[in-house]
Amino acid sequence: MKRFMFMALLLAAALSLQAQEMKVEIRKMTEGFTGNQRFPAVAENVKGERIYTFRGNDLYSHYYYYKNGTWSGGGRIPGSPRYGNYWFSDIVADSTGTFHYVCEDASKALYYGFFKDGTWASMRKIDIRHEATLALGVRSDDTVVLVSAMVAVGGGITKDVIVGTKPAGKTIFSNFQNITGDRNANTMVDAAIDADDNTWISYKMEFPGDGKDILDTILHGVNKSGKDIYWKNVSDQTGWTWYSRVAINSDGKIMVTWMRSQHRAYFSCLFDPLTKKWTEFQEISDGPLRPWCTMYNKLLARESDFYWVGLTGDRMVVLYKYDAEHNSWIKLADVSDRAAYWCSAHMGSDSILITWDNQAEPTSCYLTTVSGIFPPPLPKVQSVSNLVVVKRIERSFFHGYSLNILSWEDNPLNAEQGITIAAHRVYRKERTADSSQWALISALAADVYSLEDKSIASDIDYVYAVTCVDSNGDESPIVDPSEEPSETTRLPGSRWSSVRSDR
Amino acid sequence: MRSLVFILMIPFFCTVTSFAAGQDQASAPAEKPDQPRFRLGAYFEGWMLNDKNLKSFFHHSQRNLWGFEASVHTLYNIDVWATYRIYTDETKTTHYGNTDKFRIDATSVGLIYRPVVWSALEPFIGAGVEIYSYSEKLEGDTDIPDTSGNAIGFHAQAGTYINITKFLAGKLFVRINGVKKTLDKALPDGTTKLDLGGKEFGIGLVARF
Repeated sequence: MKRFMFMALLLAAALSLQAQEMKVEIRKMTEGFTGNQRFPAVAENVKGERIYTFRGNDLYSHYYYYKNGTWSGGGRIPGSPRYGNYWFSDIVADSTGTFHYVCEDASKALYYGFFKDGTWASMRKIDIRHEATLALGVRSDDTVVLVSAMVAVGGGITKDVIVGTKPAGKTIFSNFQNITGDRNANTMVDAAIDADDNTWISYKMEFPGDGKDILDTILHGVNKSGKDIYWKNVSDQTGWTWYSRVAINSDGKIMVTWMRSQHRAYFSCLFDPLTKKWTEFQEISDGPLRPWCTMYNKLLARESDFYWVGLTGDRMVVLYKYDAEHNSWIKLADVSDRAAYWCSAHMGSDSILITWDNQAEPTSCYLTTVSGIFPPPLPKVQSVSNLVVVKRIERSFFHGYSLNILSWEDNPLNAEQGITIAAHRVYRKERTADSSQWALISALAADVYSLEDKSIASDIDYVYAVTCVDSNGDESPIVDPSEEPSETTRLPGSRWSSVRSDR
Repeated sequence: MRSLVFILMIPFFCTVTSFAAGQDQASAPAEKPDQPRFRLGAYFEGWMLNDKNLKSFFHHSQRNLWGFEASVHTLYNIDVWATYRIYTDETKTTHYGNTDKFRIDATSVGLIYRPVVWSALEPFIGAGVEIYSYSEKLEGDTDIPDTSGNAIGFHAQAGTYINITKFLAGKLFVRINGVKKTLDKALPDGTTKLDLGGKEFGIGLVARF
């Protein structure tokens, strides 16, 4: 298989209708696999690494790993269950470059695994009563947000949308909240995180049993505490709307798309949270009407732009870009060379990564890379590496105090990207406090790699983050420490704990 | 505080001694006529403090030290007795390693009863009060303040003089002290109890005249 892998078919097709430098490359990812490979997804991290996942013909999760311009590795993801009904999955990457992958065994369970530095952590079952569809997002503190549709208590067709979180450094999702909690059937979720770490969720809401047979697309905003900040029936159309998508651009504007069965077309609507105004419905036109079940699509945002990937009536994968001036969509490219069954997409650093599998069996999984649409982003400064916090006690017999000793190292990513660090900033919060409680306790020169924090209470467990400020004044995001509290030892005659006592 | 203790001790010692001298004259017929009145001595002892936190922090369960004592005979083979010694210990602070010096200036005042003389042995028992002044001082740059304080307790002791000549005797003794104090501010380990009592055992030389 490897031989075929490395000799993978590379189809370069100048299918573009617009940008001169736009380049569309199609790569068959599952060359050598027999049977039906399905439901591919892809993500790219800050290091430029990529993970490509799909459900293999053996009904397990598989992956390929892209680093330094080469696809390699691959195989079954450790701990992957054998799915009865794998369908939806999502992958996101946090600021440290860790990939977070959640996939479903529809109507049964969700499974989570993460991939860092070339290694998978074995997948684990997420303890919720999962129904179908899911979406992931990452907050500024690297908390991963999971949105899913859950079988409501009591069963039946009633379903609810739930939101759970996994703080940085933790390996399980928790703090699940049912944000719908009604008798309607809410599924087909998607999610996007705004600059304030609010989660904006789109979903399909079904009104069962009232005779109207209406399925509408909802935009629902919740803050970090899970409190509602917005709710609107966006589609508010007769008939059925399906498979909503949501994305937020750098201006904070929120795009929602959905498929409407009666028109057999996709629609969009743009929301400005500042003015609370919506644009008029806009159809994402693509000529022929779509037959039922070509509903898979993906909405992406980059800077102030929105991009949409979906299937045409003849099941070809297409890429559109939103024209904000005219509230319309412009087709950028055909991105598949054959009829597809499934598609998804991810915004890469300098390209749009589109995954799809072909319609005719035996199916294979593909990756289309669309580059040349936008210039590569300026490199972003990263936080320091290897932050270590050692708790110590300075005491005589009669008096004493606790202090935390911090040390860290330069993040090699900054040097690799040619970023000059101008300063370090040290933040602190109580371990149990939420991310809004980070407090700046010291600003240090770029050549300072340690700090003794004496202004602490001995009985409080603190966590720290050290950010880098580059020569432009841009600051890296605050990242919760990924390490669990270090081993605690007890000093003779002391109730104060000393962590990693290395004297 | 140590000076104050000494100043207070002087009139006490003089008063007891004068009283004893007067009584001695009155009761002289009941006593050995050649018994010396004054004894001055020095001894070397081991002192084991009770306080577990102190022993743990300074890493010593026993300190050896010199002490000095004086006594005056009163009546019925009873002496008024006093001693002074200094207990010291030293360690480093837990993180920065500043030198941490601990000291107890210990003064004991009490009575000793010598019931019999067996050949060269002259056993005794005694009891009295303990008057301690303690301090902890740190050297170098530190955020930790120095500490000092006082504590009062009691003692009981037993031992024997070993008469070598008319004017010189050896001495063996064991002393048990009970000196406890409740601190205003808790120690870093959370306790407010300070137990400076302990056990002392030693050997010395005493001049009699």
